[in-house]
Amino acid sequence: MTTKQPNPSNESSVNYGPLAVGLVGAMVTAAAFIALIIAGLAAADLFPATSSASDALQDRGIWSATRAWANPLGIAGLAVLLGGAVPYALYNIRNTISYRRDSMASALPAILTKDATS
Amino acid sequence: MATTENSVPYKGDDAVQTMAKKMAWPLLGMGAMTVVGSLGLAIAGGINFGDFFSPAGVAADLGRGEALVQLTGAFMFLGMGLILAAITMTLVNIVRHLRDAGRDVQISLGAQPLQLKKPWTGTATPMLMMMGVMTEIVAFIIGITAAVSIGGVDPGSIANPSGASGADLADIGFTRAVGTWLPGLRLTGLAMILIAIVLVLTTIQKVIRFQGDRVSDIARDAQAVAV
Repeated sequence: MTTKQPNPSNESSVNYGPLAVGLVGAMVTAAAFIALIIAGLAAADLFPATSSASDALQDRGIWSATRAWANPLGIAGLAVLLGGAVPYALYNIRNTISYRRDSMASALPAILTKDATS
Repeated sequence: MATTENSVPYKGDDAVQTMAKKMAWPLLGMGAMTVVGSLGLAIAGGINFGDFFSPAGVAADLGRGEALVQLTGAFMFLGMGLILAAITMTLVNIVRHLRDAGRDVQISLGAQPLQLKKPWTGTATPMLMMMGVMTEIVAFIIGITAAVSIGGVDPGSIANPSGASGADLADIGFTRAVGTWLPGLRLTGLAMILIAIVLVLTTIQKVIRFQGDRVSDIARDAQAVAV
């Protein structure tokens, strides 16, 4: 029977890369939220329009333009989480399963030898 | 031994793990039903908008459509939040099963059953998940409030705000303002729950690594006894 030694490349500490990627995604979504709050203030000024016509036009522009890009930006942040952080974490789990396989393959013969001699 | 520093003797579920054990499937069911319900609301809203723009359309159709749009968003994102929370709890259950399986293996090898000391990722997971779910619930309540506000507006005022009363204009303004930033709040809540999922996946990685190290330690002890 051949036994594998644990792969030294797997023995590094736990990888927090997925968490970093996830935090980037969450921050992108939070930035979109802040932009939408500003757009919401502009929308609130429109009903009723107490300001001048040019200010109302500016408010409408901010409202429409921000909604146009901020909603997709928020979803893009979620996409970073779903498409980047989660697969990255699953990939790390797969590597760690390989590490455990190598540990078992090298440890079990010693344990079985002990059982046979005791 | 390599694993003794970050291990504790085996102990059962804590409060959070017990909650995950009991709540994962009910939450999934509630979330799925909420999302399906929101789909029904969306279809009803679409029908009302279609009726408004038909030759026989009346302003009341537009009012109902506007209110149903608000309700759809409120229910849909609450359902998504519940489903993602259920996925988080299911992953916590995987951690529980890994821990219990590790205990059984250690006992069968005649070793003292140890488990990984709860890492910070495991401590932070339920906090972030609950924050995300609470955010979705708050967004749901605000969404219902917006639906009630726009539902109380004279439908003719929605079609032509220039002729609306002051109270109706205030309600339209509230609904438009809330409808602008509420999607951002809902997405931020979902992002919090997804971060919790990444945290629990990192915890799973730590548990698997610990188990590999633990088996190596037991083998080392066995070799020492044999010598």
